[in-house]
Amino acid sequence: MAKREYLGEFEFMVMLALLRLGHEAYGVEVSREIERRCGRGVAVGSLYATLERLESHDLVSSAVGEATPERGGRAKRYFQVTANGRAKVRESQRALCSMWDGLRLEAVR
Amino acid sequence: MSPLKPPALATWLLGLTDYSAWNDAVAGDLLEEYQQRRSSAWYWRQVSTAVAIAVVRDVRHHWVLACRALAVAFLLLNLSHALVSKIGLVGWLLYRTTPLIGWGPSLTIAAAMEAFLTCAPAGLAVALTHRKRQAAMVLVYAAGLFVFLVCLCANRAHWTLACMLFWESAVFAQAGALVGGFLGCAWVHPPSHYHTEFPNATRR
Repeated sequence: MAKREYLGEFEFMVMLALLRLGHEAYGVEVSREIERRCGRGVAVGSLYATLERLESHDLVSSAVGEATPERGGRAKRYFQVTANGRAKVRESQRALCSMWDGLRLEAVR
Repeated sequence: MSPLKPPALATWLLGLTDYSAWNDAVAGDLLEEYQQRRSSAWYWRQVSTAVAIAVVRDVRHHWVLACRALAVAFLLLNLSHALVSKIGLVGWLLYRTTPLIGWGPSLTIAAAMEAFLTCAPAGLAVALTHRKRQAAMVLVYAAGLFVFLVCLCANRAHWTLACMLFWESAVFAQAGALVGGFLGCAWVHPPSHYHTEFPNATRR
């Protein structure tokens, strides 16, 4: 059977945050989105390491945006999910749904 | 309202790892968040994580360079140890300080100075000979030295004076490695230095 690689938990969260934010997805917004929805603090270093890995697998693409004074003149980097990325998210969603299907936590020991 | 300035040392440390094309974005994001609501402790935590990740990535991708850094460091350690012994620093310090503060404290100071001065030049040499990945290679040297010292200290687990001196020397050796290494980094990349442009970027 061919080996299929699914997204890890944090990778999945990042991909979903990117999909939710659309064209406004850059580091700060992505980490805030994850913090807001999951209640989980995100280290910017780990976020960028994940984004770099996702980009190397062609699941995400990035482009340099504008520099603002509150960023000390440093440019933003905007991210978008690629077609491959969307397919991978759907695949992971299907796998998770299939694992959840018919499962009731009260019944699990 | 003037913008808040984040801890300068942390920003400089982050700048030392700016060989990733995305470092500018990371530094900008951290600064933007810091302006909003964050504390210096938060900033230091974030920078430490980013530097640790960058160092691990550098070592994984450039392990030959890491081996070379260790080889340079341990060669220099031998040389500087021989030199420090040759100039008789320990003997001179003992001779000068024993009448003033007694034998015990003067031996402690001499051992600490010897360890510090033996390990600092190697750190400096590693930083100057690995200019492209300085921070990573200095930390590789410090980690290598730490493992080496722990292996040596493991055989000296009894609380005798000699053992305490050895542990104290190990601490000062580690401090010397880091101070020497980061002095080398500051020499090549002064704290005022920071890149605002990065290569291979497509403008949106």
